[in-house]
Amino acid sequence: MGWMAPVAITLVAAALLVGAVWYAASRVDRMHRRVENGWASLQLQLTRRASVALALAHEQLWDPVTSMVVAEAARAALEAPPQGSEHSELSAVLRAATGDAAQVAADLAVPEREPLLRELGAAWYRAVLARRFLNDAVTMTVRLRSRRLVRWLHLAGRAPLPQTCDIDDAPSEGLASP
Amino acid sequence: MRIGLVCPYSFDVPGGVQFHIRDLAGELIGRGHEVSVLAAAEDETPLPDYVVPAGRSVPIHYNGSVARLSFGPLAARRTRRWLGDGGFDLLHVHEPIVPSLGMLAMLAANGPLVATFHSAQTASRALRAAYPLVRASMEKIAGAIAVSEDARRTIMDHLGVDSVIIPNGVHVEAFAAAPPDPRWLATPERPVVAFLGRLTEPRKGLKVALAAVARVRAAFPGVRFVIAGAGDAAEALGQLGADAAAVELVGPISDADKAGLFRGCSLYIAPQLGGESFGIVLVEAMAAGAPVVASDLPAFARVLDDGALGRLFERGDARSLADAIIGVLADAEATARQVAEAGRAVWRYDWSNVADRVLAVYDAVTGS
Repeated sequence: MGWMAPVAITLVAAALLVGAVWYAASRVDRMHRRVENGWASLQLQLTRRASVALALAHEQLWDPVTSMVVAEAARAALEAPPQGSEHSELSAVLRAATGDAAQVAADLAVPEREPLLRELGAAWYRAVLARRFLNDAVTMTVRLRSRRLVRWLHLAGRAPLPQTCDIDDAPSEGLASP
Repeated sequence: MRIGLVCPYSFDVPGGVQFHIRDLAGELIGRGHEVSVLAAAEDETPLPDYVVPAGRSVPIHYNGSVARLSFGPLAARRTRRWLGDGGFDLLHVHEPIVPSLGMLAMLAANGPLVATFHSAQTASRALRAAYPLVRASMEKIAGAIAVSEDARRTIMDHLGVDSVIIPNGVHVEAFAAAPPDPRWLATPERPVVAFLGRLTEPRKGLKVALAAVARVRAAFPGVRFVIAGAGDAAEALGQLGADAAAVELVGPISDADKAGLFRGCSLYIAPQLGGESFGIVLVEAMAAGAPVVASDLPAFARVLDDGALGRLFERGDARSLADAIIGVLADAEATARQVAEAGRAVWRYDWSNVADRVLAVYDAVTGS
């Protein structure tokens, strides 16, 4: 009977270890999916913002010069990846174009402009949120992947270490946000 | 969108988180979303038809107050069944670090998850004990919301979770248009100072309020202190002596009575000693046009814009509170200016605005 105890202990320990590894691997997997979803959502919101900005430029919301600059920045942003500096530039251009709250209020009173302007603010705010949530997911993933169990057993597979997205999306003073 | 909301506290008793979830659900339904709320509640409790009761709750000392929480095998089973039946596009859990339905739902959840942190305090001892498990389910939160800067900082420090700030909502119009209650209507000879809060909970600051009575009474002999809230304060009142004549205990009051009180009183005082994350009652008083005197807690200072929208006094200091009350009553002109300013500022807490922001979080999380 004496040999049974060590065997039982070994079996239990092995089961616990397998359980812990499986649990850690599923957490890493979940975080990778969250990061992936985060990028997809950010891409969507940034594209939406750029399309609305382009539409507003075509509507001649601004003077011809401003409209041209906004249209150029928006077109560049539409083709850029979500981490591209084109989005930071579009933010800066749009901040200059919509920085005057009184002017924005006047534009909001024009029926053709109102829905587009509101959508610009809405898409912008959603992009800010999406980036905040993405970066939070990235930070958590990096923290999780730095744990010994995850590193030693290569639980993250060949997935590259995720990077935060550091574009400038500071909101415009004049534009209402949600 | 099909949205599942989870309330950790019991719908059998009133509370800030419960009201918030009820109002949010109403606002979302009004915009055409399908909403189901899972909440602790007895099966016999009359509930709105969108609330699914998860059964009996147990009063537990948690975070310095007594909360009615729901846990155990029955609650866990009902939570899983509710999730399975719901087929939600998005799950929105409130107070996910309270050991109740929210935590249960998060453990079982798989889809897009949003969580709102209401409290600026964490029961760090309990949290450390459950930490690995809690940390792992925190990783499921795709979008975290904090109701205030203080709540945001707390969850950043304790859980390493970043969040966006969306304040609690108030129906501004309902308070602004409520008829003043004649029982508590202030007159120049008989100004009314209103206090609200559970009387037996020291951190609500009833003691500070009562200690200020004598000094205010010396300046305004006709002053009435109207104290609303559940609990027994007879003993505290007994120590006041003659000044007890200026104090009226009205017990717990309804939402409608609260609005009527705020509309008719001379001012509302919030002498809380700590543990406040946001201060929704301050916003309600401001919406009703009541001048506000509040202790200088960071959360209150932020709601009052560092004293621009109401007066702040040194927390726990009855003399400082009394002077602030006297200041409000004596300087009608400055007070009227602050009230007008506050009446404009509260619109950012209106549900129309707050629900827009919550929906933006849903969009950012679901990628729609």
